[in-house]
Amino acid sequence: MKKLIIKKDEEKNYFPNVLFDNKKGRCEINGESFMESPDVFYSPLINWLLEFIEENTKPLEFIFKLRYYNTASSKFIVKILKILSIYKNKGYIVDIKWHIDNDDTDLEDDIEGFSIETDLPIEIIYA
Amino acid sequence: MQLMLNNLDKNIIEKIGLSDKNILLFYKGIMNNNILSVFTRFIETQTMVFPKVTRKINRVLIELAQNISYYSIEKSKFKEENRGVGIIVVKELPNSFLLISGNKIQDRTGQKLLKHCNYINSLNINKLKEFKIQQRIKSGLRENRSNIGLVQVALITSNPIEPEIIKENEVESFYILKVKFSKF
Repeated sequence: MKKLIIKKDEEKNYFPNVLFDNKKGRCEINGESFMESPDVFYSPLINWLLEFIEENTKPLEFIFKLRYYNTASSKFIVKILKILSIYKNKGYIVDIKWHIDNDDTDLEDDIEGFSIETDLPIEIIYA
Repeated sequence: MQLMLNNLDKNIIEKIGLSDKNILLFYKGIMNNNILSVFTRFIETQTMVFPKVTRKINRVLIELAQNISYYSIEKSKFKEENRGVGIIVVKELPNSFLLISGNKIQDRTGQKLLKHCNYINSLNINKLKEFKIQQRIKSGLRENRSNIGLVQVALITSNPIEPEIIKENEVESFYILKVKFSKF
């Protein structure tokens, strides 16, 4: 299983950076996500995660550093979290963190919603 | 600006207040993500004294611009694809910022949109949050749209969203949505 690396094009800052590292058991999505076809962008991420939870038993750390994302992308964030939830329910360690600005109550509310929808704890890390 | 306004109905220009002097951003044309990227950066520079409000404006801007791109019935070709055409306006008022979006719709969808906006306005914050989750689950993963854009807009603004439909002819109407963001 290979690392998944997607580096955003500076001209297209509506795509986030992605670094999924199976050896370290660490995944990070960083930047902004308001592309028009999130299914195309998120499909490889979802496939990678499905493969990871099939092949691994090691702890998985998942870090979100997303500031702006459209509601269409939020569907795929939920999908990612649901995959992490499957892994956790198998008895493996899943640690999810979301980095946000100190006074970003809207994002805080959104993260709370993701947590309720997927029944997963998400630790908020304030800048 | 006059050139861009020429093909807009006088009534629409008046409703949006396009002759006001407090306009930070005015755009009429196709909506795509490259343009949206420029707008979000521009809003950051124009509203940097109110960082919390900046994030709110940009989040709502993204949703409303993408609604125009998907749903406006006025289309224009961009890179071989038909894209929705519409208007985005951002104004600075003494105690708030006002974001206005506008686009052509089929007249028959106007009442449906008004009903949807009124329903959203009737919900309190907790009900809105519940409604958002329900709608997201309902929309499934097949589509690239979640149908929760306006719910998210209402949650972010904490003010009522203000829709208006201006009938242009038997078939077409112009849909305006105003969203206010308090500075303090």
